[in-house]
Amino acid sequence: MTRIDQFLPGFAPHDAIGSHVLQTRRALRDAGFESDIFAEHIHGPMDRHAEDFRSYPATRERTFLLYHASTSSPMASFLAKRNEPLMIDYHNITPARYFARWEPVAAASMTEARDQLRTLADRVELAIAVSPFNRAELVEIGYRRTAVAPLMIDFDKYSAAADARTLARLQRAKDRGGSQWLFVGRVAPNKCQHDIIGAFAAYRHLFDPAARLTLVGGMTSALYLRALTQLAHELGVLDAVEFADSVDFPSLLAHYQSADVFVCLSEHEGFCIPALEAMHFNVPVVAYATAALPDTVGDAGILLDDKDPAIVACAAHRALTDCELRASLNEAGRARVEHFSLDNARKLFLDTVVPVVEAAGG
Amino acid sequence: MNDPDEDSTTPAGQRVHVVEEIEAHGRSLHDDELDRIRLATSRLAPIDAGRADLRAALALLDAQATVDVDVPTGSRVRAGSSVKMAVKRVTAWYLRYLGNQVTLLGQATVRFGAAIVERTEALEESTAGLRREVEGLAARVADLEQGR
Repeated sequence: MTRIDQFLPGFAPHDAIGSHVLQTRRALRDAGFESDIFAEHIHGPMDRHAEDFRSYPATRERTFLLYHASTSSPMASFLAKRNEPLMIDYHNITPARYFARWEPVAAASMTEARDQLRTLADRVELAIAVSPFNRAELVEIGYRRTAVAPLMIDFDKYSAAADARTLARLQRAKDRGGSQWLFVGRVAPNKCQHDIIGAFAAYRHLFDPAARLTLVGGMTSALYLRALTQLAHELGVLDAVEFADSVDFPSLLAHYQSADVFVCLSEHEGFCIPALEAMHFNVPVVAYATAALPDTVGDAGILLDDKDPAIVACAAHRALTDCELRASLNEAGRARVEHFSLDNARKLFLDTVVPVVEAAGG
Repeated sequence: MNDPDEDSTTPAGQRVHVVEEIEAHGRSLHDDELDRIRLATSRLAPIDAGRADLRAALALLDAQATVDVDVPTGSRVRAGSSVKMAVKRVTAWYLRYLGNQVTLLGQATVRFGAAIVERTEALEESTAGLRREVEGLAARVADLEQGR
């Protein structure tokens, strides 16, 4: 039986890439392949799903390797030196310039990751990208055979019960009036939470002084987080902004269920699952039209070419007050979620990978 | 994202026009508060800085040099906010005293950093000049050795 083993630098629960890798393994096994997962850093409960990549056998017959590229890792050179045919699934690497000011060490690591990606170009049989934006990057750095297959997202899991306490807390805040803004994503300079805080301050100034903003997401840069709290303080909105850190899944569901508008002003996203999550919960999406966001959001959100605080505030206000627009966004959002459904993503992935494996005699 | 070819009779086409309206309206809005928000937000925009960019490091130090002693008192727990406000009131004098000293230390460090940056840049400039002079002299010595 042909084997397709997956490799990823970090394997963590409730992580977009980790969930995708598990779904990919299921799709490969259902399609009749043997498939296991190997990682450099295996976090907590994921150790029952993966093994350390350093324990990988020296040689394996009828085997293909699939590397999930997203950060720098010794795994890249390990895989490059092996004889088995190699494929990559590119989730994107944040450009170093976003971190150079805040976290020079992280910036250096991102530069290294891009160098590694470049060196793998000649070695790879097939480079899959999770978005057309990512694919364009691969083509630009010299990858010849590329394809797009989006992240595999199991939208059924969003039907689980939301955390009752969080829901009740958010409802109490809602009862006091004012709309609820939400953004979900790590606190990182490329996610530009500072622009969201600026737009939120403009929104409170122009339309709704009682509005609240919740920023859900773990911290990537402590200095950037501190600058964000200083900015919120300076703009007089600190008491209306909640830095929720990373939350468990039921609490995340509560945040989506309580949100009135999802605002994403990231400058660099390789896919952006939270935009689809918001659509799943009928929360209108206002986003900056850059990187992979136009690919993911499509026509199901208000995509802005300019993220001036007043423009974003006007967009959020329109999404919240124009019932016709909101209904049309909800309908388009449902279609978008269906487009990225697990079944569609699995089929696209297998239609992309299987011919390459068969052509190579697998 | 505006696509001029989008058919305005379709929902997607109508949304393109909505975005155009929103952007035009937002751009036309100006007052002192919006200008203040724009300025404060733009200060955190990504900048191109290399690992060895001393000026970027100094700007970061400058931005972090002030200690904020006005502790946020919001809480997810209902009684949490009241407790935090009470603690804040009781400890305010102490935090202010401590915060002022740390802020002064931060500001002094920024001044020290600025002096180092200026001195380093001046040294880099003079080193480059000296290097050019040494290269010229080395060429003259080589010429003399060859009897030219």
